[in-house]
Parts: sequence; C-alpha cells; structure tokens
Amino acid sequence: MPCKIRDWRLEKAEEKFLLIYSENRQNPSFSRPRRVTVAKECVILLIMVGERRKFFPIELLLNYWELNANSLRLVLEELYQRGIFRVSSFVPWPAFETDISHSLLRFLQLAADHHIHVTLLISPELGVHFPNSGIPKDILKNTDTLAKSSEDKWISVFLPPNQFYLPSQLASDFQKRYSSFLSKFQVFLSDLEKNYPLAAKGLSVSLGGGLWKYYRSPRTAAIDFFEEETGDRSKGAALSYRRWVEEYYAQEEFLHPNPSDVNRWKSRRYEEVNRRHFSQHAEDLSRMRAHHLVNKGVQQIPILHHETFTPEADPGFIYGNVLRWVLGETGDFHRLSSYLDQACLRRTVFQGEICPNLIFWTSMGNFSKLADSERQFLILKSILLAGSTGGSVLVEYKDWLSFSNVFRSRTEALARQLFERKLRLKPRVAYLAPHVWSAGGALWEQLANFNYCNTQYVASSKWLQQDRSVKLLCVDPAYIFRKEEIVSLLNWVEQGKVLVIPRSPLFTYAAQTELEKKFKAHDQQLDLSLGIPYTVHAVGRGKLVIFELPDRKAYEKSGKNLWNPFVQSILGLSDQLPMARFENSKLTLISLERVRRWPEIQQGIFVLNSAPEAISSPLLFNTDVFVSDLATAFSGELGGIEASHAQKGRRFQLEVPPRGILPLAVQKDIPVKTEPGVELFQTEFESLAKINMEVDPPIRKPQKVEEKQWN
Amino acid sequence: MELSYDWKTFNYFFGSSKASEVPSAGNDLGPLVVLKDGNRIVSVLARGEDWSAWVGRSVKAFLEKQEKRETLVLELKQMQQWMENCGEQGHFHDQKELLKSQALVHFQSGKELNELRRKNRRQIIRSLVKKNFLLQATTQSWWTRLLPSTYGVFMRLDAKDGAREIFLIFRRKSLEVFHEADLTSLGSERIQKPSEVIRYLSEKHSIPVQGIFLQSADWAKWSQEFEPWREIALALWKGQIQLSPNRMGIQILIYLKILFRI
Repeated sequence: MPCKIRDWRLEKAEEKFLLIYSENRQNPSFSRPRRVTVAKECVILLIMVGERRKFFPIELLLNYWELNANSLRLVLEELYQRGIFRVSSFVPWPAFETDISHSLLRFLQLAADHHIHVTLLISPELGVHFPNSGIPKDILKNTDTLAKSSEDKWISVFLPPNQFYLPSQLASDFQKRYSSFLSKFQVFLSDLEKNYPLAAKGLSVSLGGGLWKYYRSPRTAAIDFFEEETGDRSKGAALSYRRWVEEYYAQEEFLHPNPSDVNRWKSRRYEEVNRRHFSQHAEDLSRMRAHHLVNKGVQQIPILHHETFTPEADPGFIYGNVLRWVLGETGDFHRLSSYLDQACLRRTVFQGEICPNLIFWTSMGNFSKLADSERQFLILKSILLAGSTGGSVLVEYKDWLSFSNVFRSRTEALARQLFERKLRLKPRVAYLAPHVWSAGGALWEQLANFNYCNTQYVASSKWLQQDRSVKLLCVDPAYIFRKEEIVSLLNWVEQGKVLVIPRSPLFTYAAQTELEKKFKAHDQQLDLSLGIPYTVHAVGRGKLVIFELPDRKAYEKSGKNLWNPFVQSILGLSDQLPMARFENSKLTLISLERVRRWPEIQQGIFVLNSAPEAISSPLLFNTDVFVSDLATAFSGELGGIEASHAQKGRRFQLEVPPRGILPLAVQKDIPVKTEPGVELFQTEFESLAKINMEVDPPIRKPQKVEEKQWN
Repeated sequence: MELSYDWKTFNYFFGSSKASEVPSAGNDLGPLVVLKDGNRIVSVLARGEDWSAWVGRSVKAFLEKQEKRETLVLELKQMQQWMENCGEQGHFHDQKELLKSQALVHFQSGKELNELRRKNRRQIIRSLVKKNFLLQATTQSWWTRLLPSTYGVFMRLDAKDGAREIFLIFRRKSLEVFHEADLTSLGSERIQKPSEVIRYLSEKHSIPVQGIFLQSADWAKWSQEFEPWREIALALWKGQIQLSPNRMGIQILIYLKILFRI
C-alpha cells in the first residue's frame, strides 16, 4: 500500500524548521508528525514518498557502492536535512555479486531510517562509475561475446573510468551471466520483503532496456544519431537471427495460401526488414525475461520499466568526445542538445505500456565540463521532454546540489507540476516502425520536423488501445503487416483516428484480405497526389490513408522535400498541424497540455533558445489566441489565463535569452464567468518564469505586434 | 566499497577546470580542429563556438568558407588507429594520455601543424602535453628511476566545506589504482592524525606510502601551473604543506627539480 503524505507545509516558527504531517495508517513510521531541520535557503525536493510506481522528473543518483558505510550515513543525513526524499542507484553486477559486507542491504536500511525512497536501476547501462560500467570483466575478455556494428567492428565506449567494447546481449555467455545475476537479485528482494519489510517498503526496482540502442556504427552515428539500421552483427547474433527467421516464417500465416510464398519473405530482398524485426523481437524478449526473473516471488516491491539514455555514451559522440579529450575538455553542448531532440521521441513499449525515458547526465563525461548555464539548459530540456511523459532526468546528487538554490527550487516547481500530471506532453502523432532504434526514413524525419515533440517513434501498436491521445499513426514502409495487427489497427481507426500505411508487399495474405474486406464495407475513396500519390478511405469515423512509395528518380530529384506536401496533408487531415511556429528556426517549442477541468485546452508553451546569444523572433499562431506569462496564468484565481493579464493575437514578438527557456500560457478562448468546479492549483509556477535567471537576463513578457495572416 | 578507479575523486584532484562558454572576441579566435571522414565532417572543435551545423557536410566547402580562420584537419582513420591501441591500458587516465601522446607524435611528424601560426600551434601542443605536475613527475620524469617500483601517495586537501582525500598506488612507473581510501576502521580521532593514516595504509597495502596534506586552494592554484615546484618548495619551507613521513629524500627530489628544471 503506497504511503501518502497528505499535507506538508513550511513553518518558520524557528526560522529553520520544516514540519511534515502525515495521515497514513498503513505505515506508522510516516504517520507521526516529523520535524526536519533544513537550512534556511535549502531546496525541498518532492516529499511524495508514496509514489513508488513512477519516476519523479528529477531523480538524484546516489550509488551506494561508491561510498563506505560512514560516508553513506552522512550523505543520507545531508539529503534528509535538505528535504530530499528520493534517490536512485545503479547496481553493477560485480558490486552486487561480491557484496560480502551486505552494503546494499545496509544502504536500504539506512535509507529507510531516513525515510528516503530508493529506486534501484539494475540493467546494464553505460556511464556508470564502475569499471566497464558495471559489466563483468570476464564477459568482455572473450571477443566472441562482443557486439559488432554494421561495419563489422566492435563498438567502443570511450568514457571514464575505462574504455571498453560493448558486449553482445545475444551472446549466450552474456545471457547466462545476466540471468544468474537477476536470479540472485530476485532472491535478495524476496529476502528483503520477508526480513526487512520497512526497507522493502521504501524501494522500487527498475529495469532498463539495456545496450540495444548502442549497437550502431559510431562512424554513421557521428553524422546522424539514428541514420542507419541498428543491430548487433556479431557471430552469435547472426546465428540467433537465422534461427528467428526460420521460426518466425514457419507460422501458418506466412504459409497460407501457398507454402512456397515463405521463400519470398526469407529472401535477401527483405533482409533489412527482417533484421529490424528481429532486433526488436530480441530486445522485447530480453526485457520480458528480465522482468520474469526479477518479478518472480516479489510481492510488494514494484518492478518498473524504463529506458535509459546516456547521451555521452552514445556511439554518435565517441569521435567527437575523443577529439575533445585529446585537445581540450569542453563538452559538445549543441550536439548533446540535438541528441535529446532525437532520442526522446523514441519510446519503447513493454506489456502494452510505454516505458518512461530516463536521461542520465553522467558526471563521467564532458557534460560536467560544460558551463553552468549549458548544464542547466540541458537538464531543463530533459525534464520537459522526458519528465512530461512520465520519465525523468537522472543527475548525480552532488552535481544537483552544486547548482544554485534558485535554479533548483524553480526546476523543482516545474518538476512537481509534471509529476502531478498538471502539465503533460501528449504526443498526438505516432510513427510505427519495425525497430525503435533504427532509422525512420524520410517520412519520419518530415513528421518530426513539422511536429517535433508532438510525435513519437514506437515499434509496437499494442499500447494504442490504451493511449487515447494519439490521433494519427503513420506506419514505416519496412513494417510487416499481419492479420491480427491490421484488424486491431482498423478497429482503432474506426474510433475517429487517421491511419497512414504504405502500399507495400509486406502484407501477409490474410492481412491483405482483411484490408480489402474493409474497403468493400466502406467504399468511399479519394485519390490524391501531392508528390506522393495516396488514397484516402473512410473507415468508420476515421480515415485510412494508403500511400505509394516514391520511385527512386523522383526521390533523387526532390530529396526529402518530396514528402513535405504529403506530410502537411496528413497532419491537416488529422487536425494535427502545429499550433504555432517561429520565423527563426534556432528557436524550438515544446508544447505541454494543462490537464484541468476547463472547456478549452490550455497549453503551457516552452520556448527554447540553445544559442549563446539572445534571439528575438515573432511567434506565429494559426488562430487568434490569448498568450500570457505562464507563472501569472497558473497562479490566477481561475487557475487559467485571465483577460486582464493576457494579450490576444496571432503574432507575438518574443525575446528569448541565451540558453534560456521562456514559459508561456496559451489559450484559445477565455471564459468570462467563473465556473463552479474549476480546480484551483497551488501557485507553484510563481517563480517559473525566471528559470535560468541567474545566468540569463530577465525574460520579457510577450509583446503583441501588428497582426499578420499566417498561411 | 573501494573502487579501483574512482574517477570522480581523481577528476576533482587532477581534472581541468570548466570551459568558458564565451568564445574569445575579435581576431583572437583560436584554431578550428576538424575531424573528417573522407570528405565529410565528423566533428569540429572550437572552444565556446557552435559548429555542429557543419557535421556531415563537405570539408571542402567548410575550408572555403573559413578561409581566414586557421584550421587543423584530422583524419578519422588516424583517430581510430589511436583508439585501437588504448584497450591495453587499464584505466581512462592512461588511455587518454596514450591518445594524447600518439596525437602529439602525429602532429609533430606532419606538416599541417607547422602551417599554423605560432600562437595557435603552441595552443594545440600545450593541450596535448598538459598534465598535472605531480602525475608528470611520478610517471614520466627522472623521478621514476629513483622512486620505489611500488608505492602509494595519500593526499588530503583541507577546505572550508570539508576535506577531500585520494589514495594513489603507482606500480612500475604507472598509476595503477586511485580511490578514496576507506579509513572508517581508524576511528574519528586517529583519522585526523597524518602519521596514523599513513601507517594504516602502508600496512594494509604492504607498500611505502607518502602522505601529502595541504590546503585545497593551494592545490587548485598549483594544478593550473605547468611547473609549480618553486612555490611548492616555499610552501614546504613555510609549513603550508605537511609531508608524512617527512622524508628528506622527497624534499631533495623537489629541490633538484627546481635546480635543474627537469
């Protein structure tokens, strides 16, 4: 039973005391009023100890194996004093397997004593402060167990504390070792539940996706992070791939109506398609196995799933980083920022649910060498992109505490709004591909260009039924359509959605028949051609778009721009054209929805300027809107924009400070009367408008300029 | 748990300071370093400047556009070769140093570096040879011939916000282990006494250990300098640095370094 602290407040009776009241009956340790001494200027980072099943948008990393017992006690004491009640820790396999002094148990007990909630991250991850990032040495010694990129080369990880080559998660030695570690870990968790229930109550375990996303050629990734087919090409992986192809195409659906058709699917022509499907299958299977191994017999401790991104460990940064290590240790701020743009849009799915993204800013790499304003910008951007969808930014606790109190308190205010789901990023457009880490092609690039964070890249359609926010789904030309899936997608379309699929030979006979059946039932069709020829079919309340793939000549002539009119057309068809744009392309916009009982959707818009100089640019809306400062809007009496504070128009001149983030509230209409039942929110955004204010000049309020029609 | 390679602590003691985000103004812009793969740019290094838009584009076009700016071009294949050799080194510090030494040999043997202005050439060479004075002395100078084959160095930096410690083990002229030593078994009183700490570490690892106790601010100042031995000798004389045990031999080594500038 999760424990919830229902009321908390800061009392200044003795200048430095924080009193926390709890009414939880399940957990007596939290039910008595607690008195915590805090420094006068300290930051209080989320006190929701009860929320064990989700990440707080800022997770602080405290690796228990980095410290001895005494130091650990002191650090936990310090965090407690500062009002920090959540930490995360990686669990490197060797550290756990050779833990003769039971340091993990001691850490969990100490954390429980201090009422600090712990999340253990147990999958192999990069950027961890342990030799070989916590991957056992014996696995890496054997060259047969190392992963290979598409260039048939080992993939290097060039980060402290040492350089090593990535192991193949498909190698049998790796799998045996990983399973053995997980089994031991599961035994540990079961024992913890039985013998130390208090420590178990303050614990969550989270499984990450592992190393799959890093199986890319550093040479190609250095130019474009996800430009090519991702996947392990080692010997072990090749064998597994062959086996998978045989098993997958032995299914009856591929043998019907003509059993010899199966050779078509297995042919060299479809090798790239098959490899992508195989890579996704292998990753899903690995996650499933890990989940079952850890979850077995564990009753109370929540087992979460996430996807960790360690930007600096990405193959796309290896050569740039080496150049920097050799000639000057500056971080590559702009590349790190653009990596976030690409990585955060990719979402993994487990058991029909999207796994939250965890952006891990390790202190191992050149991130720590960036200027404060740059680090603050990257952390805020990570929070906006990952934290707004249930994910988090993972920062070393020392790095976090090294930031100024003002920055921390303001970021925390934003994080709390995201955690409480008062502001959410709800992508309305999804792109379904066979493999989540492989290149998406021109269609995906144009979709992401037009709609940026309103788009997500996934490799499973199973979550669609649960996620009502998606309005438009585009399917990659390399996707294999089977009957079950096409039926499910067509049912989804009937709910008023738009499905865009390619006219490709990758439909099974049964899937093709099912599609034709649907066409017969709804025979309204419209043939169009906007560079890309396509047909629009009405299916129930929704629409099905089938597009032709462009021929090579047309593509070579027009390049990726060939897709522009088509993409605009399908976005228009699903009413998903972006609500605003900038004239200056250096500025980016992240639009979050405010979840509230209000007839009009209210948006929290964050304008990001990653440039080292201030940028002045008009923000153009496609309809008249009311725009106001986010802090003022959210602290208003109605919890919304009030006419007195807002400006109406389509064009607003903004000046965004260098490395600055400008928060705005946008609403299409402002109701005049007070509505009963409108939810009131705390005024936690009061200070948000001045995020980064210490390093940046004050943010100007938007000024309305002469109106112009946006076409 | 004691990590063999505690990079965070190591970086605190021997890492370089943060880079400035503001590029130097006017004509003082430093050289651009371009890493290329064939005719495509893989990475551009320029302190405080953003050249990421050029990644993936043609080197020729870049050089034409940047006619006035001095540029050093490096081949990706060359870098890949350097990286392949790094696997034999145990930890990141040695791996990085090996990369630097290979880069230095490459640049000195080629003519590209010599084509740069003297100031820019010096800037690049300086970044390649720059190393912490203590690590330079203990792993690369003539000291290595006189020091024992295996020994430890314990350093404690006192600061207002608490002390920071690092324990280094050198074996056969190279840095083998670096971490924050676990001194919990010493107790709160003995831990404050330098001689007790050094005796404990020496017995635990069965090697001679030299303790160095100084102020954090002094260390930070000297770490920025190339050859701060004169200041160190003065600080020793004034008692700003405490050596434990206070071996005469170490002091003589320092004085000889000042005397012969080697």
